[in-house]
Amino acid sequence: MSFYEEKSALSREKRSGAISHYHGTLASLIADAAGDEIPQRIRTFTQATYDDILSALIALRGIRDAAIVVHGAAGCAAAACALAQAGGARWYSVNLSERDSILGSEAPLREAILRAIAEGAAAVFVVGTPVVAINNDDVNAVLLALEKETAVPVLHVNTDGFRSKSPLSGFDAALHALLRLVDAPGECGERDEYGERGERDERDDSAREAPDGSHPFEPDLSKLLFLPHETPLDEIKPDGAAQNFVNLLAVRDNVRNIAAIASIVDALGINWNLLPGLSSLENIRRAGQARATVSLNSDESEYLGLGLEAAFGTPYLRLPAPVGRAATRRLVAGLAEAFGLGDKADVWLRAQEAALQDVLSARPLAGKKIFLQMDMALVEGFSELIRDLGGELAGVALSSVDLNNRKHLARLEAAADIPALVAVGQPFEVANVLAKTPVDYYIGPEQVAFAARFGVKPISLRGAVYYGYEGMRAFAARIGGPHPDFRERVRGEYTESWLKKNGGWHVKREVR
Amino acid sequence: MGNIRNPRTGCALHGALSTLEAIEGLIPIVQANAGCAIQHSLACRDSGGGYIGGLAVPSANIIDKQIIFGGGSRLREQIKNTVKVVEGRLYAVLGSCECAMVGDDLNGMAREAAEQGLPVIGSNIAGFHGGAHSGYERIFLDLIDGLPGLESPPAPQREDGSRPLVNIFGIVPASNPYYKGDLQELQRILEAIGLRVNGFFGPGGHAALYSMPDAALNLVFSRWGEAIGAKLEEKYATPQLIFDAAPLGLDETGFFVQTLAERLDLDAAAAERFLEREEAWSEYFLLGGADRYFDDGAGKSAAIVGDTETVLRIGGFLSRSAGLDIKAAIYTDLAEGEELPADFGGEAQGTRDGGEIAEILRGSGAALIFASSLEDAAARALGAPLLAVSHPLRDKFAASQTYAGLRGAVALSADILTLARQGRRAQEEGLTRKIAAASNRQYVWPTCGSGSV
Repeated sequence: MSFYEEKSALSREKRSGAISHYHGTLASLIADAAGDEIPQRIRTFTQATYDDILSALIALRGIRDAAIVVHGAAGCAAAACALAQAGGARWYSVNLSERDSILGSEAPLREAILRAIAEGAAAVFVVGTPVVAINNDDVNAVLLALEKETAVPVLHVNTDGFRSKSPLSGFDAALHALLRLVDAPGECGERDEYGERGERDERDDSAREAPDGSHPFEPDLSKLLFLPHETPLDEIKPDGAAQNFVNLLAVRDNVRNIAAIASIVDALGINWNLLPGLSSLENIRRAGQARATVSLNSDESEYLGLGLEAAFGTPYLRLPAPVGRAATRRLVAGLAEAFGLGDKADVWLRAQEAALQDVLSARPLAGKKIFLQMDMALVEGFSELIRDLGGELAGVALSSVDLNNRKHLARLEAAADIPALVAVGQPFEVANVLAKTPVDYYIGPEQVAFAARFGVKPISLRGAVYYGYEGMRAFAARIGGPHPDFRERVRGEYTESWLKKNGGWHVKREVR
Repeated sequence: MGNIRNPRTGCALHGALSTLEAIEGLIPIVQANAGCAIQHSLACRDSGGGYIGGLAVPSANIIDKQIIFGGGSRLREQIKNTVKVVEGRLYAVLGSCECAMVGDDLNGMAREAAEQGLPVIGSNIAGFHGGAHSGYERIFLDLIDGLPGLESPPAPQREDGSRPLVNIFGIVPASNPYYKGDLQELQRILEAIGLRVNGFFGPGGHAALYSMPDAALNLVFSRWGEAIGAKLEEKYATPQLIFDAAPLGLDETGFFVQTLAERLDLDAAAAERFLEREEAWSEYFLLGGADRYFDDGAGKSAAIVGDTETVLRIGGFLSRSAGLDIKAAIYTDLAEGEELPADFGGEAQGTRDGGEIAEILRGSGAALIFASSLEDAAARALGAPLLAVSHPLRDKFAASQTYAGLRGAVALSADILTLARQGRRAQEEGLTRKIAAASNRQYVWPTCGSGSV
């Protein structure tokens, strides 16, 4: 049985030997990762971090005709205040009480799912939480019965907040459920406009035009982004032949990055199908018909690419995240090969690289030491970009490292003596490194203001464009701007003794 | 309890976290799975902001092994190392749903640390015990129980030591996104009439906790402070004075000041002079506002959504002082079946369900909406401008802004006039475009001025 046919996704630890706790140097991390497995470590002091539930919610939030039902107490869905997107999935909390945790939660779950369907959801993702997992409620029985009763897909996202130490496991759990919605080749032609799995509720679109309490927060760019090269559904032939479009997999990628890559794919004249971020069920259903699949950030979306390849034969192009020249070139070359573009792509690439020369020749990071905090998938591209701009890597904090990352780590070997953490968050460890290591710039999506307290200039990647050629130009433009000095204004949070201590003192080998 | 669409209020653990994060020197230690504290920080990222928060909160991040075999030893290790790594004056261990279900002896672990001389207390809270407001109440009750067992810091030297000290309860951090400004305005008023305020939130908060028993009076501004006031009365014989909500506007503030002056035997003439001076300043700030009020039709109808304290405070001001007709009042912190706290004459309901709230707002036909950022879509559907007065806020950074007391009344009046002008302008722009399109001529919108004749 292939992995996508299993009841649920394996954790990252089991699937790829992922570790999420490490404190040492890049050299020691590379040595640790060289064997058949990477030793699991644990921290004996930890700060709050993301779990698989939050990752699953992030992966599913952009699917505009779906509903997310968080099967837990009200607090387990509190992040909706920040994560819910206008025009994205609708959010429901089952709102379990202490009584439900004792007597079982099947009845309130059923009620919440039926409500979501009645209010227009064309698919329902039920996201698991610790209360339900500890109680061992029979969730699948409820879901199967309701699916039969309503003819709407009701999918279990098997998360619980405690089985995996890697938040990335939550992306896999959500994408595993999502794979069930993908049509097999030939299925599309046999369906009516909206598919046989559920009648589309006409109230749905009108409700979105006339707001009904769905989250209004973020602009719905999906329609705009889909316009240029979206393939009309009737062009997808039922014979199972690969079609002239590529799946672009974006999970946590921000809209500016998505737009930067979409513009490259557009320039190559290739149609694209974006999922699961800013998508619809139609985008998901057709994903099995694509000629190829590309992840923008493989740490987050690889599971879906591999699943589409295993289940539908859609080739998954194993490409690095399109950060920096080499990775962007590889993206273009990979697409050119898959779509038989010949010299056209080369001509386009040469023009783009020529236009970039003035940015690179300025070397705005010359002589500067850089600390990177990001996913493993982005580090290689960023380290090349930093070198191109004249800078030098001085430390890394990676969200996760697994056996598949070994070749990426090896390519960073030139900087092997620098501090290396594997952690999501854990600012106390970053503080320990920044207190001892000379660093000029801190680059990452998290904790940037915190880094500024150590006199380091932060460049926040949150919401910023850094993919493709547009990303390289935008990133270079942010270097050297004015930076307020926060050192005198904010009191330290950590003890002096900790800041002087060996930063790996509290990270131990896990005893199983 | 019923399911919730677009959940907004978080859980009891989140309320306790918001409270602790707002007190200087307090460090929460969460005995929960990794995501619990992050759910809270995402939900409140624009509504609170404390001394510690988000990824910096110490959390045991419990895993399956601790679910199966119990998390006691992991918690012991986490407490010991938190004290070594994170600078704090007092550490509060918070439970969670998992911790409650597994049966971890959280209070035992906290007691064990305290016996070793560490300033640690425990609060056996769980998310499914209630919403964020109940977490505020619970953590204060546990602080009152836990603090006497710990060594207290030296009492701060105060120049105004002869003035009576008062505690303030019932203004819930983050659940009231303007809590910092609201509390500061209350403190300004109280100090002006001769009192000292024992401020928990903000600089000096840790020391203020230990001064709780020294107060002459506990001022309670919502139902969520009543149990705290009752506990202090029982334990230290400190009386409490309960108000339904913080005062807003001259009338309410006047009543509040006079009540206090009588109760604590303050200089009534001085209090009167303060009110007269404040009234004169309020009038000065709002000079010219009356014309706009009538020109822009600000005195229309309104709907309000928020927790009980917010609805009573702002709803009361809108209806009594600003002359607005309250078409809908929606309370987001009531328990199922709980009696509605006030009747403003229009539709009233207790719900925190986003779908129900949107439906009530749509049916209200209100011209101005006072709610959270979640109601933005419903307000747009109504064509009514929205002022974000309740949690969650989005985009706005509240800092010291207040909708309480006298300065809050000026701010709210100014915001109402601004909203009314924006509503009028949007309507006129729409009509102008329609007319321009109908007459098939190109129309250039003027760069300044109201655009009206």
